[in-house]
Amino acid sequence: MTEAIVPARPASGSGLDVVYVLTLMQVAFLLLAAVGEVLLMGGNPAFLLVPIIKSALLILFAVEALRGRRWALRGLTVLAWVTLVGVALQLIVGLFPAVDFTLNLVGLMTNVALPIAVIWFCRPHLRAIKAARKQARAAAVGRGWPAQVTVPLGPAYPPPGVPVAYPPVVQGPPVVQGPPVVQGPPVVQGPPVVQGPPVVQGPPVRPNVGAPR
Amino acid sequence: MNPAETFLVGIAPDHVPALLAALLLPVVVLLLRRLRVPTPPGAASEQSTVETSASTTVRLWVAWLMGISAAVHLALPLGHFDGALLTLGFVGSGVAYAWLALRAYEGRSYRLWSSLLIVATLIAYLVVCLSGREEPDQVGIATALVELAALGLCVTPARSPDRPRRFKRFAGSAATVFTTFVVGVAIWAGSLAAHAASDADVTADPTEAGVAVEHGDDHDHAHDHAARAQAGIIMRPQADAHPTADQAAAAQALVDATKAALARYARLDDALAAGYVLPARATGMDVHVENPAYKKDGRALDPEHPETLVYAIDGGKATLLGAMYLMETAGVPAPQPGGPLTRWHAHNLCLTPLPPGFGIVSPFGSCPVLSLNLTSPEMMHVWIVDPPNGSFAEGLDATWERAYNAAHGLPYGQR
Repeated sequence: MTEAIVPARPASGSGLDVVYVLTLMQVAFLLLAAVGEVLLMGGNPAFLLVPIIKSALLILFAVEALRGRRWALRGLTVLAWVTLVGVALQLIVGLFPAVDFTLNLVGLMTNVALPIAVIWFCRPHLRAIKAARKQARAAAVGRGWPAQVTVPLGPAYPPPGVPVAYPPVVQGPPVVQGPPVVQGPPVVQGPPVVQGPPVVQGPPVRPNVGAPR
Repeated sequence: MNPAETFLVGIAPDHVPALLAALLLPVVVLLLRRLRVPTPPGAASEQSTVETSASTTVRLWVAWLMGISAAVHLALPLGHFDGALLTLGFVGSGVAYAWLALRAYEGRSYRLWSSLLIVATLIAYLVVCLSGREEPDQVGIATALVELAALGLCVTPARSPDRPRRFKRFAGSAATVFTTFVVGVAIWAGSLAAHAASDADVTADPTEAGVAVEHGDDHDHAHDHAARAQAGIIMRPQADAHPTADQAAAAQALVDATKAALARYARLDDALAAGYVLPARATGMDVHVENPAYKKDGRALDPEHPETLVYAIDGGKATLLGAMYLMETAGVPAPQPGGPLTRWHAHNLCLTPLPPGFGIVSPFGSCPVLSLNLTSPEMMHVWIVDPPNGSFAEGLDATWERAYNAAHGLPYGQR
């Protein structure tokens, strides 16, 4: 018997659709920077390799995140955190005298605000998936199933804080039909009916022949 | 320049009202929402309210993005002081953006008209940038980014299990990436053109000293804040593009001193013997040969100890073109004896480890993967070969350099 918490898919037009478009823009930023570097490095196409890999990953994550895949949501979140940590690291490196770090308005938007928006929109969905898995495990343990229950991935939503038009469809194990019917104690059979002595048949009734009519 | 100064340099003064308007937008929206008559309770069922809020994240984002663009366009005339026609254009587009933002907010159709308006606005902006009438600055690029995000949300239909619309989604996605890329390239080109034009703006005519470069109702020659886009280049603003007589004399003195001091490095071999080091790519028209000791000697703008020499090296010949003075510490403003004639610049660089190399930061502030975005100390070229675009030009024409090297180059590698 398996536990299946099957999607209710993320609502159309939800925050993940915004994440998708923001990720597409990130891909364009990445390609633009890569082309700039290739031109500066004498047209060496080797400098395109890593940006293309990251672009492909970003697109894959964005597409799969819309389907509620946890690994894709995690991938987007990790990449967004890498960007934020990179900005912080550059601020620290900029303290060295030989170099500086320039953060301008556009850089703030693309390197700080955009990753924060991605994390912000992915977080409730990740939490919802986590909660659903936890719930499934608890349910499995309560029924004496093995603790590791496979929960098919898919958005087991609604994520907290994200209003969704419909509740999650939970295809649980066979619907539990109330408490099982309790069988009462076996009906105690009374003592066997004692058969009385056989009824003694009297002599056959004779017609009253001699009676006056 | 310290980080705050660098941040502000990127914002054109005539765009400050637009930026403030965009920042004030949330306050205005909050006030308007408070003034609105509240919807009587029970006017809408609970279920419909939930459905609306679930499906409107995209619409709300579009509404906000369009609203920001509306605020910027409506406030642009406050700083630009443009002609009536352009002012009308700004106000008209601002009103159109506001109208579409309201439609998106209220859940009415908005995608088609929003897409058309955004594309038209972006095309107009890029034409103005590429024609040199306006230099891309941080507010302009940020507004373009906001509009690109709104465009992406408009042309990419939200994913719906019931209606996959795969082709539309693919086309919308491709259009979003493509448009963002093209806008970035165009802004980059406009920024570099403005940077190059900043050389031409500086005249050595002392009679024009004190005349600001900002000209009334158009943006011709408005390159006093060149490279506001900071797309790889950062330049300090110049309040006055016309040097005084003293500044012109000081600039000429610097050129003469540099010429005299560099005479001993006319042969590349002599420079290498004096401690200058060739880079990995040792041929080309602008080969920068550095002296590591001079880069750390604490001297600034010293013709006797130039940090870098620039050679044209080609066909077995090398020509010393000039020196590149380099400040030791990033963020420290360099001396400008010749005023606007002696204009320094810094570079925004992306250092990449895979493979090792470097690029320049894109107009969108992006670098390649895993790269470190750094800003160099200020630097300035002084050419000693009397090039056509002046002794303090940011760069020389490669064709001219090649011809000059062919005619005047000296053989090297003989030691």
